[in-house]
Amino acid sequence: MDFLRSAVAVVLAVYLAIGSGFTAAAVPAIGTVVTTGAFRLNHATVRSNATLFEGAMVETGVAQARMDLTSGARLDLEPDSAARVFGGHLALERGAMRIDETGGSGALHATRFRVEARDLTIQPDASATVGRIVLIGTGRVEVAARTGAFRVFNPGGVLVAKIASGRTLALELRLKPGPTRMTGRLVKQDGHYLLTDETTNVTVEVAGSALTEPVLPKALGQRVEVTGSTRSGATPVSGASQIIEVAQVSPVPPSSESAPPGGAPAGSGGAGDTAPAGAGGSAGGAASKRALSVTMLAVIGGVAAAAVVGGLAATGSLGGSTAPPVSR
Amino acid sequence: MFYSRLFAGISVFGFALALGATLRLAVAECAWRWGSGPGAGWTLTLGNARHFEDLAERQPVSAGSWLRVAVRLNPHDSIAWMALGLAAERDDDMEKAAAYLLEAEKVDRQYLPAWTSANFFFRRVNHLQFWRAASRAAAISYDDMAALIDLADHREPNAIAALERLGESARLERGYLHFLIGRSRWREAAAVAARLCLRGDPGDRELLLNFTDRLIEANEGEAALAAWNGLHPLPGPDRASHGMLVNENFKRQPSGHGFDWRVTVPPPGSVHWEPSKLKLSLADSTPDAFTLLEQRVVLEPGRYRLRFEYRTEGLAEQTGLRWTLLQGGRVEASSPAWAQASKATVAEWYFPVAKAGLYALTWIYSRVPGTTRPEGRAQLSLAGLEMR
Repeated sequence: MDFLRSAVAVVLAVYLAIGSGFTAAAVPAIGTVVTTGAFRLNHATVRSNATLFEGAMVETGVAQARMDLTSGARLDLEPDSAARVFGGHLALERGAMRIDETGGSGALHATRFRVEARDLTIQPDASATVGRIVLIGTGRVEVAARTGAFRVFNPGGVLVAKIASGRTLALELRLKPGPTRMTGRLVKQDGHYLLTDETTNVTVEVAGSALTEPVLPKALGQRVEVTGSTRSGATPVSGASQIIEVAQVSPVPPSSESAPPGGAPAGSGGAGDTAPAGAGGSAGGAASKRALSVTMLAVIGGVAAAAVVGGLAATGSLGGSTAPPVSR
Repeated sequence: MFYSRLFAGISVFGFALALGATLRLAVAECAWRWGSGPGAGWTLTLGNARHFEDLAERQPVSAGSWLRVAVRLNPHDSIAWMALGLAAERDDDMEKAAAYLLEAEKVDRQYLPAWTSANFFFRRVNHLQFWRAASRAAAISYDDMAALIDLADHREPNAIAALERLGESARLERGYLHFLIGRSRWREAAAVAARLCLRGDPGDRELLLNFTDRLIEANEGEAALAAWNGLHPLPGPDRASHGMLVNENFKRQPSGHGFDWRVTVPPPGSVHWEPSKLKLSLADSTPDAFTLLEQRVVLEPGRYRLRFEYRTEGLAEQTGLRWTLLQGGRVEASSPAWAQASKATVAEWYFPVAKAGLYALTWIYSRVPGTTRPEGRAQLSLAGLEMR
């Protein structure tokens, strides 16, 4: 009898010890959140710091919250913002956030960490990407890359923008998919016609009956604006993200502001002219003195995009935007 | 002569202090502007740890250095110890992180250091230290405990086991009950509610009543019954059981909660209760179909008899008043419309129940086609249910 009791006690003890160990392994933390004030975590008020779990809802008040994820991602949720945090991505629901990867070495890139904002997916494209993402109004998302670069995808996973270091882009998902509109230099490569949009820096393959005599000889090598629609299901040539069935090709006069594909876009003033995103207040002073404007509208994959000069994302100013609406 | 010298001495001393303070502020300003390294700390030694905490916040790269200066200046500054611990954790120096956080707990016996330690030891999967810090945080928490409970729940998903480890206080049980209700974890919530019931604190009555309502909404009949009876431990008309109505003689004013009567006032009419009577007034603009009275009851399969006493005044011959039995919003049984009764009349309605579960017995007004709109009163003075 004593033996039986001892055996039961041992089994129970082992079960309790191992059981709690299994429990711990079942619910791993995905990171920490630290702030100087109070914030809300899963709708509960928390001061100073907390542990993050998959799907945690973080809402900041007057102070920003710094999130260090076990994946190596380091993110700042700015004051009066809200986001749902996961191990591999963050869904920004209100306000603004910064991606600050200085604490890790290529971690964001390595783990393919992404930010979701208003149905757009923003993914760091370089190993040391630092930038800022701001939700403005009811539909706009501004993405500023300070260092590194971002790729932006529409809900269908189509690449709609590549944002290079020093650039800010305003993006807005259109409710009704309209025609694609892009501006850039038309080039021929291995028998295919390619165009890299000056605003979004996205290269597409262009095709269609509109791209024949007598338009083609005049347009090739020139700066043109094309409108058309995406040819779904078709595989584009290497280096292009999609095939555009062109409906119209219009020549655009060469502009002194225009830049070659892959370089600084027209109107953006190039990397050096744009206040560094993520620098927050330090960059805000000079940048805010510049007139805020949105230039070079492009529509691709149902997303309207425009380069922002002295972008709000760069200045840190969320209210009182004087920029014209992105969508038309 | 002596006094004038004394006065002069005090004045000089005062001026010297003021000069020293001014110089110190000037140096602090310079250190701030030019971002001097920790070596500048010696000029600001008069308990100005906060300055270095600010620096650490603004310059994350050298946060560790600034915070070490801060804790040297003020070893009782738990905020700095905690920040140092978290910074060490970020730098993967877990041994130092643990030491700093434990030091924060040592110098400050309030909630925040214990909460911070609990989080750190959770992440380090150090069960012993986690439960020690978490139970300490639970004991001294003075506001929202939801985050602490959430953390403990991630470590120990069994609410009762977690409660036992955290300290079993009434506050904690209340917090856990809210937490479990929010996650629709009814069985565990019922177990925590039972503990809270045993404490017998009148302040918990509303919470437990609301909990019973939530269980009923979630169709958790048995758990709701247990929670309700936990609030009514003594035998009497308020206790609920299978196939029995609560407060069947209307001796008590219907509370509108749990298994008691729930009265809905008809939009332009009124309801008046007096001991053993419930009077409802209907106006001609009362909707054609309306639930006047309702009670939730747990029923087993079988045949039931509802015996009730009613009286009407001013209503049509076919009053439109009838009983219905609902489950999940679906009508399972419905009585005929009761005839006008100018005197108190006892009537019976038999109905079958095929499936065990939580039902709603409702007394409704449903205008019989061809009759005039209601303008009158109805009175109920008894409603007893029994299995036949």
